[in-house]
Amino acid sequence: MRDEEQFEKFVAGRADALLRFGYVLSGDPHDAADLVQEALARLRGSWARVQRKDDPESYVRTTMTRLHVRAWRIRSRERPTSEPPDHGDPDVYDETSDLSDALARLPRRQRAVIVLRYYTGLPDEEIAATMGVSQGTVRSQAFRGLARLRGELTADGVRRR
Amino acid sequence: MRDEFERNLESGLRLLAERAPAAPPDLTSRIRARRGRWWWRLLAAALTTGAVAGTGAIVTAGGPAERVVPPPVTIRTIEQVHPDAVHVVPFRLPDGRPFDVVAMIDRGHALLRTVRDGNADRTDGLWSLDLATGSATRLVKVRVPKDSVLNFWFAVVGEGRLVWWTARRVAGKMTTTFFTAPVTGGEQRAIAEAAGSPLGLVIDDGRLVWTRGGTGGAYEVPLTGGTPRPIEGTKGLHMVHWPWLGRPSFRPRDPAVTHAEIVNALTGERRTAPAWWSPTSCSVTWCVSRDQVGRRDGTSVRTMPSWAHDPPALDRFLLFTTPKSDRYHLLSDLATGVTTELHPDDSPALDYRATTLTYRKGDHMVIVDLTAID
Repeated sequence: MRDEEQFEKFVAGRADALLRFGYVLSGDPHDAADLVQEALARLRGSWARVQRKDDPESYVRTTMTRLHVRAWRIRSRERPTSEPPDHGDPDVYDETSDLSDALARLPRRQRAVIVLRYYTGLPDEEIAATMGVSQGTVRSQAFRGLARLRGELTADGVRRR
Repeated sequence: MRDEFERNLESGLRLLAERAPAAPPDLTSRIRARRGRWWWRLLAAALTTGAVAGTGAIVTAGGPAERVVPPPVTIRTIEQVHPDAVHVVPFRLPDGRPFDVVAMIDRGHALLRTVRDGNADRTDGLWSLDLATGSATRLVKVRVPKDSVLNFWFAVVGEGRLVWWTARRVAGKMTTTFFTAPVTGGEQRAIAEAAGSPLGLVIDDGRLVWTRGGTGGAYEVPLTGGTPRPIEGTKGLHMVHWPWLGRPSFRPRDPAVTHAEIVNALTGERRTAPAWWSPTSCSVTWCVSRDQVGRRDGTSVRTMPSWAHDPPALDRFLLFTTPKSDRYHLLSDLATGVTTELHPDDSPALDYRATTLTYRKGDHMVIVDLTAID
C-alpha cells in the first residue's frame, strides 16, 4: 500500500477519536478542529518516518498536546472575519458542564496532564514523553490540577455550591 | 487504584468527549489542500447555534441521549462508613481535666492518660473510659520517676497487662524504665530498665518488645520483669509494625526512603522498596511519596488529595487535606481504597504507630478505633 493510501486510511479510522481528544484537551470545538488538522498535516509530512519508527496516533497526540500547551492557536493568526451568530450559551448543559467549566479554569499544562492521565489513560512516563517534561513535572502538575478540580467539584463531578 | 473522584473524572471526561465535533468525510483532502478552514467554521457555527450541519456525519454537541450517566458518588462521613469504630465522648473528664487517648483496652473502652499541671512528661493517671457511657475509671495512679524528661505517648495493652515507659538521664545517658499494671487496675510496677529511649512497644507472647530510638535494634524482656536482651538479627533496625522492623529509620536526617528495607523479626523474611526514591516513607505494604501512594514494588500507585510524609498507621491509614481546607479532614484506608470525611474542628494528626485517631468536634472528642475497621 502506498504511503498516501496508508495515511488516508489512518485518518479515516482515527480522526474522530483524535477530535474527541482535541476537544477534551482544549474544551473548544474550534481549537479541537484546528489542532487535529494541524497535527495531521504535520503527520502527513513525516508519514514515512513516523510509520517506520513510531505509533502515528501517539505522534499526532504528542503534536496536538505540545501545540496546545504552547498556546498555539491557528485562530489567533487566522481568525474568521465573521463570527458565528451569537445565540448566547449553547443549549448543551448536561452532566459534564460543571466538569467542563472546572477544566476550563485549569492552566493548559495542568489540563493536558489531567486529560492524558484520566482520558487517554497514559502512565506518567508516557505523559512526560508526550509533553516533553520530566515525570516529576507530570506528577506535580497532576497533583495541582487534581487538587483544583477536587476543590471545585464534588466527587460526582458537580460544582460545589 | 484510583479513588471515587478520579474514577468519576475518567467517566466525566469520556462523556465530555462526546461533545466533540465529528470529522467531515473529506478531511484528508482538506489536510492535503491546507487552504483555509471554512468547514470547521461551519461546524463551529452549527455547534454554537445547536444546529445539526451536514448529512448526519457531523454530530452536534450533546451526544446521544441514551448515554449512561455514572451514579453520583460522594465521600461519605466516617460515621456512615464505620459506625462501630467511631466514638464520641466529652472533651474532658467529669472533673474537668483534659486527657489523651494512649491505647484501646478493648472495643468498648479506651485507655486515657492524665497529666499533672499540664506537663506532658508528668503523667499522673491511667484511666479506662467507657465509650458507651462516657464514664471514666482510674486504673493506675501513675508515679513518674524524678528527673524524667521523656514520657510514653502510646501505652500498650495485652495479655492482661498495661505497659508504659518514662525516660530520664542517668550519668548523662538516657535510660528508660518500663512499668506495668493489671489491665483491670492496680499498683504500677517497674519491670525493666534499658539504655536509650524506645521507639515502638509491643506485647508479644509473654514478653515486651521494642526498638531503641536512634541506633535501632530490637530488645525484649519478659512481662514479669528481668534484664532486657537484644533480639538476634535486628541490629540497626527500627519498629515499623511488629514483627516487621526496618531501616533507615523514621524521619532520617537526610532525605531517604524510610523503611526501604524491612525484616520480619520472627521469620527473617526481608523486603525492599525498589520502585521508590526519596523522599518516601514506607510501611510494611505501602510507600508514600508526596501525593503518590503505592505498593513497595511500585504497583497500585495512586495520587492522593494532598502530600503525606509519614508511613500509614496500621499499614493502611493516612490523613489528607484538600486545597480549600486548613486541616486534615480525610481519612484514607489504603487497604480498601475507601476515603472518609471526618469534619473535624481541629486538624488531627495520625502517627504511624497509633491505633486510634482522635479529633475535636464541638465540645466533644471523636475517638476512631482504627483496629475496629475491618
